[in-house]
Amino acid sequence: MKILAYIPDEDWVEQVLGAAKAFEGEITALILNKELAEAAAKKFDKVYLANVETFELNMIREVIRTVLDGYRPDVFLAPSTNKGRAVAGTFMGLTDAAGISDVINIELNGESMVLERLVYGGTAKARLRMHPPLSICISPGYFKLESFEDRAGEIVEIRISIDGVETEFKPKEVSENDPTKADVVVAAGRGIKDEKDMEMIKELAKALGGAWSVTRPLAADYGWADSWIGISGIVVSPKIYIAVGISGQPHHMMGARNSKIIISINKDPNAPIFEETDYGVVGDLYKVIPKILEKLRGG
Amino acid sequence: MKILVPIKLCYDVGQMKFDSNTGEPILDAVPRSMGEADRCALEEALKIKDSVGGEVVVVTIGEARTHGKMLRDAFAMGATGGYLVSTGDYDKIDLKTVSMIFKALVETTGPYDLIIMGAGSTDTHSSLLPPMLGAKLDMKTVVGIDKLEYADGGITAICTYGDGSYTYRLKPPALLSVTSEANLPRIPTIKDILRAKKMKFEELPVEELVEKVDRVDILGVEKYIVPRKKLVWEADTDDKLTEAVENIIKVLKEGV
Repeated sequence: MKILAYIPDEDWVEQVLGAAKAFEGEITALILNKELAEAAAKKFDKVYLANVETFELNMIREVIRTVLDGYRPDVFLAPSTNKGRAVAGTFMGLTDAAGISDVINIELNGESMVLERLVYGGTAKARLRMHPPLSICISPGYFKLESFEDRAGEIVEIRISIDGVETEFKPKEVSENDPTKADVVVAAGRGIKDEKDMEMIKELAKALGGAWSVTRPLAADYGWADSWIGISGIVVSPKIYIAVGISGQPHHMMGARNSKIIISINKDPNAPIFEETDYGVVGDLYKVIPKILEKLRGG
Repeated sequence: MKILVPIKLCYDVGQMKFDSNTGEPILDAVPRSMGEADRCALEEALKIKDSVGGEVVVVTIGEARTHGKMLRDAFAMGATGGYLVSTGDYDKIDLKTVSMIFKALVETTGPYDLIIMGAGSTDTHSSLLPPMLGAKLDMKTVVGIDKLEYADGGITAICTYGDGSYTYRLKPPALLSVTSEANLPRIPTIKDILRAKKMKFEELPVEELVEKVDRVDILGVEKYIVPRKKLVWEADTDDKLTEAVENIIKVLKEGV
C-alpha cells in the first residue's frame, strides 16, 4: 500500500509514522519546509518538498495536484489539526478519495480498514469500515512510534509558479507557556470569577513546572488568554491535567481527555467533569487552590 | 452578489444520552439545530448582503420533516432562498457524495460569487468538506476563518492556526469557511419568524444531482470512556479541605 503523509511540523513526524505502521509499503511525506524535510527525510522513502513558505491552501492544492501527476497514494495521512484537515480535504477533493478525521485507531482488514474515530464532541467513538483510496486525519497523542529503520529519504523538490492568495503571516509569540508540550497543565474554567484570579492559576502551573490554559469562554468571550483547550482550540495530553472550575462540557473535554491523570476542582458535585476525573475535590476553588499553593511552598 | 451557504442539522453534543446497557447513543432524545459554525457562516453572508445587496441561498441535505424548521430558521435570519436536497438516511451519506451533491447544486443553480460554510459541524466536526468542495469546484479557498471582512469588492480573512495568525486577501469568486468564533449570529425577531413561515424552500431529489449515493459503513457507535479512578473528596469543612488538599499534593508529588 502506498502512503502519502502531510507533515506540518516536527511534532507530527513520529505520530504520523506511528499511524503508518498499520500499513505495509512505501511511505512518502509531503513537507512544506526545507529544514524539516532535510531533518526528517531518512524516516521516509521519499519526501516531496514544495516551495510554499507560508501556509496557503490554494498553492498547496497545486502542489498536491503536481504530486498526484506522478504518484497516486492509497492512503493520505494528516494530523487532525486546522492545517492537517485543510490539506486532507484538498487531497480528497482532487482524488475522489473517501475521508475521515479524529481517528484514534487503525486496523487493516484485508483490502478494507476498520477505523475508530471520535464523534459527538468526543463523547462517543464510532467504528467504520472504509476502503482506499482514503484520507485519514489522526488525533493528537494516540499514535506513537517505538522504533524505525532508516529509509531511502530521497527529497523531490516541487516548484509551482501560480499566484496564490495574498498572505500575511504573524507567528505566535514565543512563550514559555506551551500547554501542548507541558507535563502538567493547569486549566481554568468559568469558576474563575475575575481576570486577576488567573494569577493563582499561573502560579500553580509555575509551582508544578507546567503550563496553564483556559476553556473557550475565558479566551474567546473574556479575552483572558490567546488560546483555549477544546475541539476548536488546542489539544493537550499531559501527564497531569488540573481542571479548575471547569464543568467538563464535551467540546472542552475533547481537548483534554487524552491526559494521563485528570485532577478536578469544582464546587458542583454533579459537574460532568467528575465523571472523567481520577482525583477530584468538591469545594470552593478559591479555598482549594491557595491551600495547594501553600502546601507546595512547604506550608 | 449571490452567496450560497450550505448548512447542516447537528446534534447538540452537550445533551448526548447513551443507553446504559449497550453504551450506544440514544439520538432520538438529542435536540438538533443548525450547526454553530454554519450559523456564523450564514451571519457573514447576511452581513455582506446587507452591505452590497444580493441573494443569500441556503442548502441542506435531508428530509422536509426534520430539516424544514432549520431552513425556516435560516429564512428568519435573512436568507432569501433555500434548497432541500431530499433523501432519507442523510446522516450516513459519505463526505465524497456530500461534496458531489453540493458541486452539482452549484453547477445547476449557480454561479455563486461566494460559498460560505461553517468550518466544521457541531457533531462530527471533521472540517474536511470545505477544502474538499473548494478543490472540486476549483475555487479559491480559505478555511477556518475567525474574522471575515468584505469591503470594496475584496475579502480579508484572518485565520488562527497552531503556529500563528494568517491574513488572506482575495476577491470573489471564493469558497470560505468560518469558525464559531467569527461572530455572534443575529437573533430573528417575531416578525422575521412570521415572515419566514410564509417562505418556501425548493426540494431537489438527490437523484437529480448525483447518480449514486454512497453511505458510510458504520460498524458501531458507543460512548467513549477513558477509564478514570473517580476518587473525589469533599472539602466543605476546614478539616476536609486540608485532607483533600493533602491527597492532591500526594498525587502531584507522585505524578510530576
